[in-house]
Amino acid sequence: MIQNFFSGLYELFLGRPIPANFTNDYREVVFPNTGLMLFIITLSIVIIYYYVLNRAMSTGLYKPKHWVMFLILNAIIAFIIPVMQVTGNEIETHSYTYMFAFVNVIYSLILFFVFSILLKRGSVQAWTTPMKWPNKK
Amino acid sequence: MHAPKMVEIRLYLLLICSMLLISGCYKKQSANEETEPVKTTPAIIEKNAPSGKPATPPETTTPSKVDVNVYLEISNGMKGFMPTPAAGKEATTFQNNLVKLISEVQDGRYVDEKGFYLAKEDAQSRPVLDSVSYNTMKSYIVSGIKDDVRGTPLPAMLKAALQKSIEQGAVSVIISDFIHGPDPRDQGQFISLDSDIRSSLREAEHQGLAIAILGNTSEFFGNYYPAVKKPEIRRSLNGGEIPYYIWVIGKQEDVQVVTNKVLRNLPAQQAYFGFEYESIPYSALLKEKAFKPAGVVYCSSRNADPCTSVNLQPEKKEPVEFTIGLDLSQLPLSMQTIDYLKKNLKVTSTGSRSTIVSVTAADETIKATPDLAKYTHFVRVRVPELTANSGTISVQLPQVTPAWISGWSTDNDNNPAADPKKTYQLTKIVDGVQALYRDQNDFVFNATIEFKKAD
Repeated sequence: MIQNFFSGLYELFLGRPIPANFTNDYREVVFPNTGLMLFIITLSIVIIYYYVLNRAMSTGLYKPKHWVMFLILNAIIAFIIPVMQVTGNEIETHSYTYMFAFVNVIYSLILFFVFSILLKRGSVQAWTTPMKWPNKK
Repeated sequence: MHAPKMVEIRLYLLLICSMLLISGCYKKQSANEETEPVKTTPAIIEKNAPSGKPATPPETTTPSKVDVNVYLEISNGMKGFMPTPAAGKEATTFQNNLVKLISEVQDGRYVDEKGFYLAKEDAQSRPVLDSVSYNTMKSYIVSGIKDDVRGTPLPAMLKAALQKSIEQGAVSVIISDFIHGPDPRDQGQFISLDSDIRSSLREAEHQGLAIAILGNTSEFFGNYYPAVKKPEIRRSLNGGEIPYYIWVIGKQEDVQVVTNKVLRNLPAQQAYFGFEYESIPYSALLKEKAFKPAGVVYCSSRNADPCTSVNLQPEKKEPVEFTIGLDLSQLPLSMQTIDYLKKNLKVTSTGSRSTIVSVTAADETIKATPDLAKYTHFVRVRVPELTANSGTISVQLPQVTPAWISGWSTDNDNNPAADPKKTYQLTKIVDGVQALYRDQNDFVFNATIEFKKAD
């Protein structure tokens, strides 16, 4: 199920894996691994940003440009993971691999934004980062 | 200041939810494992190291030693192969090969119990098998035949030899010119030669024995007795080439020990009957760099080794092509040659149209690749079109009679000098052998790959 979910998520934009002889490796290993890691890492970075750096430690990294820095950091990780997954599983790299990494970056941006919106209320210094909405005060 | 509290609760909820999501997936995966042949580890799924699944063992373990009975026909027609030695006269090919053969049987490491028999006939044209010592047989071969044996009742001789070997559990090695010499009063036997051969060897088929026929020629000195007695009843030859044959009859694996390890240097003319391989090792090779597939094709399960089930989806613009690796090292050597396989291998399929693109043997690079070293031959198959959503693609080697048989056969052997290297009605003799195995499997082996249309 989880394999189908992530395969569907990536193949929606990418189409069938290329080269086709590694279809199983993508569907059973690379897509689920990448998807799960994307989810966990993005969540961790958001928690670190709002709850560790801007609540527990009060580091002063509450400005939107700091938030963007962490967004980009997450995006870079989201680009590296798929490439590592593909090469680590001895799959031939192909332009498909980089398209896949690119799609993962897009998902990382969306997910980082969504987690931020959901979690920023709990932050002391950064609850209006990147913007005030939807919190009211 | 309720907001942070609320957020904390939400955070916990989110964490719990994600925990549940992930753990739920774990469960689902482990449930899958029961049905999926290949284990997939959830969450961080690693490509497993070379899978531990043991390769299917070869169906028969090659016996290290076999019992062998050698039958040498010593009718007058054989005398020319074994002329009496004289100074300055070289030994014939027959003498050289036969001495090597019986010495390998006598002293070689692959033979356990051995027996040597001289095959002749009595006054009533009944076959007689004289058990002799190694030295006696050797002296017959090197110094010629002293006996006066008129004819060779071929089917009866084969039957007697076979019977003796079956009783003793030995492999029969029968050496003869295979010129049928029936009782002069009973020439009608020529008409029914194929049926008679079949009847005489019936027991071989019943016992599940296989037959290898090796054809060779040798210089011939002396009187040649053709089967066709007109215009000449005999011809005197001085070094003309006359065929002789070695028939090896026994269990398939025992016959191969004899042909590969006892006889060794086999002549080019080989024919095998009743040879069949239930399970030769084979696999679709989809991830090997040396045999990149084309089009949409992948193994149905990720780590299957060997892979015998694939998913494929040929497109108009991009037909599917992939390579099947076969281990044919168990087959008789002549069947392993690329020319033979190119000529005879075929691919049949249900649910698709498939053709063979190429047949290649393993070269040095391939032998050095660990995953490929176990395969000796590679067949590339093209699938341009599916006609059903699932089916099979089979690479098969049909049982065929080699072409040399008809080339070595003649209907008139009266003048061997003008028409050398021919045996009277050899095709008919071989037809009789072939008829034995007609109802057996049509294929020497069959490597079947299942396929499903890719989703």
